[in-house]
Amino acid sequence: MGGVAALVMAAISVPLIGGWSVRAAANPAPSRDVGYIERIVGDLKNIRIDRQGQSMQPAILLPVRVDDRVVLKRGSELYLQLGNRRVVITEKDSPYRVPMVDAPPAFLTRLRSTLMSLGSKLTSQYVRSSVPVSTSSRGHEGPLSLPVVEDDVSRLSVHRTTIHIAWDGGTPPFVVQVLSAQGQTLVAKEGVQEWRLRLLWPPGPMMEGPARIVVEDGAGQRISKLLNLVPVQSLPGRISQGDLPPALHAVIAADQLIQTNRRQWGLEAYQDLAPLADSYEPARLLRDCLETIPSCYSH
Amino acid sequence: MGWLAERFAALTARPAFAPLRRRWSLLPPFAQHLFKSLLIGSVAAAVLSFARPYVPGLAGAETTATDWAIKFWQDRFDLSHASDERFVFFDIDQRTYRAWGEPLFVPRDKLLELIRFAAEAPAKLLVIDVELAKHVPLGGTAALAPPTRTASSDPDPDLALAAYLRRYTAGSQQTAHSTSPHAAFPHMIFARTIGPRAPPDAGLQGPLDAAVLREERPSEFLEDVVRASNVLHWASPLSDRDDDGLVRNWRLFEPTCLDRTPHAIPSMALLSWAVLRTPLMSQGAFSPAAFQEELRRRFAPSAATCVPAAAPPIVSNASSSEPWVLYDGTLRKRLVLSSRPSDLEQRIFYKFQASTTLADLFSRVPALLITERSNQPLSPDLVAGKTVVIGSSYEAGKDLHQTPIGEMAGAMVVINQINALMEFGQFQEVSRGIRWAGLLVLIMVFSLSFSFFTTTWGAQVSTLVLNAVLLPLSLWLFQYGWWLDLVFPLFVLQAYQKFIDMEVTPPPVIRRHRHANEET
Repeated sequence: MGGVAALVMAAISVPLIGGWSVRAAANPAPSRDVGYIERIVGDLKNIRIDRQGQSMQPAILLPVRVDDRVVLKRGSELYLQLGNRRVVITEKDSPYRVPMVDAPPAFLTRLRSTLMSLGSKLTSQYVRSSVPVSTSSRGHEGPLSLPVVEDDVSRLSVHRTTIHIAWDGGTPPFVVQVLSAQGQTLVAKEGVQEWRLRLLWPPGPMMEGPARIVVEDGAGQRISKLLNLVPVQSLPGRISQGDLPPALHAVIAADQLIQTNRRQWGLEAYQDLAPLADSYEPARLLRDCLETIPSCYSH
Repeated sequence: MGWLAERFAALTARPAFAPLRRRWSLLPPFAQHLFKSLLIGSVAAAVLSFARPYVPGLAGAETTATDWAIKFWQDRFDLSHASDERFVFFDIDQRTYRAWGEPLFVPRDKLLELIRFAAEAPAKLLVIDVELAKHVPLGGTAALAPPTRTASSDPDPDLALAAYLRRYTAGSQQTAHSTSPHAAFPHMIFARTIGPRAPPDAGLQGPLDAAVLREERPSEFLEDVVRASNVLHWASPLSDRDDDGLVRNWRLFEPTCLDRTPHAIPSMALLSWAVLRTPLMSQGAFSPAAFQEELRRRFAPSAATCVPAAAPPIVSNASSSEPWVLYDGTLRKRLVLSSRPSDLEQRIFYKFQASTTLADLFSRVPALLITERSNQPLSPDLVAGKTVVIGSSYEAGKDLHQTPIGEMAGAMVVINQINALMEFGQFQEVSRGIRWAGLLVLIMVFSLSFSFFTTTWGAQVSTLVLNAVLLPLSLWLFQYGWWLDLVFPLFVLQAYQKFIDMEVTPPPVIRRHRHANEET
């Protein structure tokens, strides 16, 4: 019975009664708040917010409104909570104009979508679908991939003494190498049976610049990705977390790096998380997240 | 049913009904059939109406229908509601919980920071949905810090909170004569810890009856502070959870015992509504104290039930007094407080879900943005003039609840309750006259369709009319806090169809379709 009604109602595509708009309701009046500032990175002097010709002093929880203009200078970032979305504004987005947030739908739109969904449920045929799962040990099927490194985007600070690498797919044993820009082997290991590896950097100061990670599996598959070794000063500023346990501090610091720019700093964050992952659950979750394709951070 | 028809035929065969029978025989067959159908429909509706509480499945179907309507209207935004209530939720979320060192209790120093920020903004009203019964002498960050530091310089966080609230009360009393307390010193409503009252000798094996009277647990460090204040109040955080696990209904007040004396405490939503709407009271001008006193006078249980040696602590009939009818001047609706409210009067019209898009009406602020912000400036503009609710959503807090629109933190349930009272009031059924008039119109439609078509197609057409007309109308009215029941007419239709199948089998006037098995 509902299906018949659904079909009839679904056919209604024009307003029946004046004022019952089929389209989404208009946005709130422009003077209304659409969100607030959640986090400020960098010097406050480098951030300017203009509202109808007036300059606003940036502050945590400052409400932002539609058409507010945000101007950022180098090194500063602004995190906004707009509706139910989080928006990160960096210098390249500047000047940024605060957009309208999604408005909830009006009555007829709600009714139509409800009846459409009801109708489709009642009229659609059940289609069997399945995906293969393995009930034995955890497998690493598929082609060789290196999700923790973004080719020519990932950065790694040179102050580290080790490098943690993870890959997926392929067939053991693996050969893992890190090469300099000139193709010289900086560090390498053969006969690796796992999909994760910790390598010690050679003693002495590391050279800044590009480096290449190469992983080759037992079946001859090979993957290679470029990364950039950068001075420690290049790392984004981190917000002090107070007197936190070291493990929690490390996880929060890694999370900050990922939130800043996952593609650039995901590998650096991975270095913080990997040593803790076996003993600290939050670190394990974040590490697994970075190793996933696509990463849960990319959503 | 055949017996009933025979009795009816015998009744109409009496000589007194001869003129009526003559007129009836003059009617064309279609009209005769129509009138019969109308009579059957009306009887079906009347029988169902009287037997409503005993009809299996009806109550459940009505609950499902209202759930569906609430879900339909979640995140509703109406431009015409310029005075909609605006909320800010200071959420002690998972991140905050971790940043605070995963404490057993919400650290009172952090809570003080949140309260102070909201009060000084100033918020319009502050609701603190946090357990405050136990005194935790070295809670919060003080417990994490080195012992030398806590012992020498930091005061007890609980006592610091109490001292702040004492100063707050004093400040509000000083300015009470010059300015409105709403502006400079917003009212604060604290969640009272309430548990079942068990007799002292009941032991661990004592039965826990759902009707057992509840007992308020006085706070170990705030009781005197709140009692002496005209801007600080305790309120009940209790709601009803149905047997399917969903929190659908509020409990607007709670008859309790407090220190072995009868008491009645308003819910956080009811007290928020009263403070913000200041309803007219027969005893004079509204004040929260007078409101709470009147509530206690009307709904507190009898004194005997709160004495330990007394009979089993079941809510006595003394608390089931006359309903207290209050009037919301803004909504122009009555608010009925009763110890036996109807199911519909208790329904919470949930509007805000956890990830609501109504940015202008609701903001969720992780508490750590306020307490762990380093030296960055904090703007009070987001909070000023709004209702602020402090609560938790971290997993270990176990304050997450299933609702008709999904899982949400307890504080979100409170926000939805306050908003529902402020925006819609209690749900009300459309008046009896309108309902019966509408039902009769529907019965006419059923009769016409069953007269024109076969039984099968008549049922289809009737259902279509119900869905196409009553469903949108019911949903549309729902947004204004009115419930036009669409389940009952569906049941009437089913009953009607059964009556028709059993009793009325004249050949339909127009047969559009004829089924192979419909031999007449």
